Amino acid sequence: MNTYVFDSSTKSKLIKAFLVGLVLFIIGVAIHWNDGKQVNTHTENTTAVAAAHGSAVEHHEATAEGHHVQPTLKTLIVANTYNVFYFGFYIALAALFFLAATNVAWGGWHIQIQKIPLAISVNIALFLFLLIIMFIFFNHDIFHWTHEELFVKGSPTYDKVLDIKSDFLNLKTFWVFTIIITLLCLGMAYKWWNTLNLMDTNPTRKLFSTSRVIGGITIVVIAFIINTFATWFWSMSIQPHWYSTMFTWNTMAGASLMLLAVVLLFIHYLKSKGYLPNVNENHKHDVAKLMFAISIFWCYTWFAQYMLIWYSNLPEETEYFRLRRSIDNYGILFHLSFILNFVMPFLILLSRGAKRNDKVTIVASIIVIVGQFSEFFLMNCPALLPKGGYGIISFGLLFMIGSVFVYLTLTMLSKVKDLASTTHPYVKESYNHHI
Amino acid sequence: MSDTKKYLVGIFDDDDILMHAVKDIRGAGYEITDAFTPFPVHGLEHALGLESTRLHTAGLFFGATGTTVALSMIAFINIFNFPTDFGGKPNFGLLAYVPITFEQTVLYAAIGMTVSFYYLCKLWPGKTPKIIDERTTDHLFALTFELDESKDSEYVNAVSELLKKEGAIEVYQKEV
Repeated sequence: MNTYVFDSSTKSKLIKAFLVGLVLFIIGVAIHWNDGKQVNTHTENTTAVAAAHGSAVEHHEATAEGHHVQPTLKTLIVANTYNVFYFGFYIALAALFFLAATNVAWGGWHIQIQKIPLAISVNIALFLFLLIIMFIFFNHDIFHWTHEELFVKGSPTYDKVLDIKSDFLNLKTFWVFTIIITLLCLGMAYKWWNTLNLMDTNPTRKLFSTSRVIGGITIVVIAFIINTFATWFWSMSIQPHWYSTMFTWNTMAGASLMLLAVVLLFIHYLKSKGYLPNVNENHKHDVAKLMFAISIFWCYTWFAQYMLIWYSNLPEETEYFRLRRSIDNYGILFHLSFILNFVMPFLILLSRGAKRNDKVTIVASIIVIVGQFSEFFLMNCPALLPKGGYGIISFGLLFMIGSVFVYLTLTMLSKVKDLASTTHPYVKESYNHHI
Repeated sequence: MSDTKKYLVGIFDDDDILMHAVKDIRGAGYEITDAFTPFPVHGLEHALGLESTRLHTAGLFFGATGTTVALSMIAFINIFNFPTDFGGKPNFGLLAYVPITFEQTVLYAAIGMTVSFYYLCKLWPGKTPKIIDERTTDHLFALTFELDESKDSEYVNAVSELLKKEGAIEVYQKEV
């Protein structure tokens, strides 16, 4: 019983989850059908959208006093869809990082569960594909800085700040880095999948050292190339006047937090189906402990970014939090995200007994996933949807894409020959793991 | 020194034998006072049935004290004692208080727990250490059984026999 069989009852449950998501999405579309249609009759639609998500203070003030700008239905759907794809990409990227970090550190405890992040990391291909499709077809809807008229000197739409930034922030560098990131991600995912699966059938010393070498390379590549430029180009540039050096850290910390929650749920699922016989509460304790620790790290970066910007009080920086913290737009969600991502996991997982209790860790994982989804929404969408847009459409898309994600992950798990990596040289350490 | 206690000591030279001995002796119904090892033996504290420490609970209270002291002190100074305008920030700016409060919490918890730990281990400057057997700091393992008035020679003989049967290389009585 060492090979996972993707049974039909699970499949039908996932299809039901997808349909639930689809129904939620359709209900959301029906509710928001007339959004943004009664306004802006005198201006062209694209410039209205551009003005609405332009994050320069003067843009914002101008639109706010002129008329009550509501985002159009298209913007609502595009922003939410893009956010879900970006969210999925980051789970897969964090899975690669988890594999790399544990292998480089000569980790032993995770050997039995390392096929779960391995299967999750394959999702990176799907989400990169979807993201690139979004970039090709909806570039102007997502990225304000892609509009040509911003760079025409002397015109009323000329934006000096973006013109200065355009040496770096232009479509050419954007696509170059998108392609570099895509190739690196695909290469690393392929290499990890190959190495760890070859180790099941043919465990040689060479493969073992290969896994450590690519682990080291993966960490450096993720830290200095993928994570940095992916957050800069794909997320931070949605609000192009704003910048923060903590943003990249914060995204990766959040993604790792979410990955551990997802891995914990997969362990519970596989255990409930009778797989992974030698995984016990000690391994789950370790995953929960990492989740607890990274929740604190996430809070550290989140707070550092928030407090430094609050304290220095520079207009181009405070714009980010002005949009998110004001109570009539995202204020409730902003503070709720802090509670869901830090306060609740911290208090729930504080004691040793809680980390070893299945029900408690499942509840904590679900809280963390919802919290991180809200957090990613807060990173990406408020610049596009300044008057709010987190709701039924977001969750419909989360259910739809989430069930596709789980379906693909379980399909990849069923392709793995040895689910618990019983031939890995360190597997004995994992069996005897005791804390 | 009048407050010496008498111990029956069993010396072992292997941690595996020690673990088995601990399980068997406790299974036979004898209470082990303590074990001394040159390095941490994994799972020994569970085998000995020692109570888990309450030091972390003390740490929570020390930390909470630190949080309260820091918050009330900064708030008192900034609002009542010496209100100052820093770039138009509110005097009760909770965000600005957080780093100092955090540091103060950690400081109080760390110092408080260190002092409590030394107190619980009965260690303080100038204290003469009570060492059961100096070889336990190097390569041997010791199990001790406290001998008070209720323990007669029959008990001593029974435990000594059991220790030897379990593989103790030496069994002796010592007063420290």
